[in-house]
Amino acid sequence: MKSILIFILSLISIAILLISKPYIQKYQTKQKYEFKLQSFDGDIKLSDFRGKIVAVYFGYMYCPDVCPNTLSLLSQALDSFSSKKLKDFKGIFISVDPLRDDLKNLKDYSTYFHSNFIGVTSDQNNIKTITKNYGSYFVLEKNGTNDIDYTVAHTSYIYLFDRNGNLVSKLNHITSSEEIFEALNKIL
Amino acid sequence: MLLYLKLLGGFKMLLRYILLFGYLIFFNVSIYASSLIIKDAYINPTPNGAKNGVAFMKIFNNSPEDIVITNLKSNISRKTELHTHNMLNGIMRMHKLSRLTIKKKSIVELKSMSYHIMFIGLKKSLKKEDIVKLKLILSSKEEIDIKIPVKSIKHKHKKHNKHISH
Repeated sequence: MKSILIFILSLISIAILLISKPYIQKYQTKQKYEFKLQSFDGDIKLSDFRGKIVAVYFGYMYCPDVCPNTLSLLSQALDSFSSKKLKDFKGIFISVDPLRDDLKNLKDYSTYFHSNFIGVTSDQNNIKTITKNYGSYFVLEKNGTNDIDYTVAHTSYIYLFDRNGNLVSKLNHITSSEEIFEALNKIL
Repeated sequence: MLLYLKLLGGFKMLLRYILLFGYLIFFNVSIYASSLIIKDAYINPTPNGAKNGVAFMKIFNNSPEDIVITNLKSNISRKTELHTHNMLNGIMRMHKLSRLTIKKKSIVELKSMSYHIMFIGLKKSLKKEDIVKLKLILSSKEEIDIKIPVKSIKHKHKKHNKHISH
């Protein structure tokens, strides 16, 4: 009788594990993309924006071409949506170059492209952990320790999250605002 | 004797033409060799706080000689350099170029994610409708002065307002 009870309990446990597995995986994935970063107006977390569509982009303010171009394309894609819809959108520009990009400049830089963008950064270790979790990459390419004009080799992905914080798109090296519009239009 | 003098005069005249023609050819070559035609040049405006800027353009070399740009000068930034991009495994890298060769009878386009001119350490942000003076210095030591307008970064992208949803 005891062994039957153990068998039934085992079956129930396995069933619970199987049923809960996708939920656990979903939770783990959400946690993978969670971050805590600093903006000029205070700390932010990705989970602060539940209920909004969020676009995340990693770059740096000294980037003369790829970063401003991508942010500009994202901004143009947003211009195609009504102001009502844009209340449900937040763009987060994460600087991977906290040594040179200060919070005030990051705020000005981000809002230059769109009023719904915020600029954030953190210490280098935190940035490295976050980029690794996102499957993004960057490296400061310095010619000596005193090089202040170094460039940053980096990937150029736009990560789109739905209102529940699920990653729905990872757009790579965008060259047209239409590409972003198509992806946003499915969720915004 | 008269015939001899006429022939001599004719020869001198011919020689003069040959020298003049040669001079003109040489003169023309030297003009062509130093002549670049710059088209569609523009600089992206920069947000407050941005320290670097970028210029794009098309450079035509219609001469029968290759032309090499070896240096750039501008007073809007600490450094003005030629750069290019390359992408490997999804990672964008920028490299400084020591020179840019415009092959004879050809065009080189400086454009996004390719060759470009970098203004490093901008003294002030670049605003729409500013005009930036830039000096191209060639391997022949010749200097070419150009003026580049600052245009909205959005000017080159299509709008798609037809999609506006309410």
